Amino acid sequence: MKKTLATRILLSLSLLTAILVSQQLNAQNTGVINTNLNVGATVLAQLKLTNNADVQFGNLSATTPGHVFLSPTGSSHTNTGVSTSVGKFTVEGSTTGSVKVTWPANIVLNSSVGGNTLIYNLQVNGNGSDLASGSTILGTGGLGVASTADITLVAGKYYLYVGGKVGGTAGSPANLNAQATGVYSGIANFRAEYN
Amino acid sequence: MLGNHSVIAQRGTVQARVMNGYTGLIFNQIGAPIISGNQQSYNITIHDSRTLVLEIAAPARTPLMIQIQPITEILNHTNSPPSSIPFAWEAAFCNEGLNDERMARNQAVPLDPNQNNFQFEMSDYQNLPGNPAPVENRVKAFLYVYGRLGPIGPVTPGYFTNSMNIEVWY
Repeated sequence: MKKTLATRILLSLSLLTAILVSQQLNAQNTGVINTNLNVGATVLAQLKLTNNADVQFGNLSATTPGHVFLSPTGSSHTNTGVSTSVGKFTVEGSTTGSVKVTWPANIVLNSSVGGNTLIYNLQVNGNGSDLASGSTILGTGGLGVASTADITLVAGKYYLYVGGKVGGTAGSPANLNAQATGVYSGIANFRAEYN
Repeated sequence: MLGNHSVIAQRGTVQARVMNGYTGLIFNQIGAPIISGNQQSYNITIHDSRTLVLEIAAPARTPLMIQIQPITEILNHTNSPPSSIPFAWEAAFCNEGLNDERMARNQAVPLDPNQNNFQFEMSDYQNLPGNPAPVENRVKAFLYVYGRLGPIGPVTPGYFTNSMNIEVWY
């Protein structure tokens, strides 16, 4: 039997309705979940450790009435020579960077004459400002024992002042007692790294 | 399973969550400072605690599409023009019917970083020892996003950042 035009239109409308209903059903359970992932990193300035001055105890007596002490603050030295120098380093890096500084608690100084030696126990002070007199002792254990400290740079800088005592043994300073004469020298390696 | 989640969204039968307190793919790490000009690269791997873990929970057989809007650099906007550091995202997906995140992480398959769209169908729950039973008939899939930063050129020091958008379509 031939379908009339009205029947065809009705069928077409029914089909269209069916398609629309089908699409609505599909759409009922769809959606999107959205999240943002933050990616970040703090980049620090290169760290620099500059040796500004070496340690000089001056001319010492071979026998001293007390410990030979070079104060990192620049004053109140005892039994040193007249011409002395406190060692100094400048640490430079990021504005408020946290830095670990390490150094030897003590080193052996070798004489320019023969095989004589002298023990040097280091004391390292630090200050966020470039002022030795305002510096305070760094590390745990103090002179001849401390060998590391965490410091915080101030405006990207921090200053280390190095003094200590010569004579005695590692960790146990003592007076000089008939120390063989000569020029004694050694090298203390300092290291700085970001925490 | 991750014990500490926050729901990003729950629409219909699909949920997506990240760990509570997750702040992003942050490359800062104690002992491995990122220093201007050191030319080093820094990796966050899939097994790193800093990796983004996106947990998706949905009924089995639910079709999903994950769309990642990639970024190729992170920027320090305090400079003009901003200085940048290359960033290469990586991702992996586990859709093995595993509801335990640690099990899933070991089974995750890396996604091709040259593509942005990934289509999946949620798998059936695997009845394995140690695999927690589905809750409300939802099985879980996990998306892991991590990546590589660098090399670090002579950039101006500071905080570099950018944002990746991740969409889960269902």
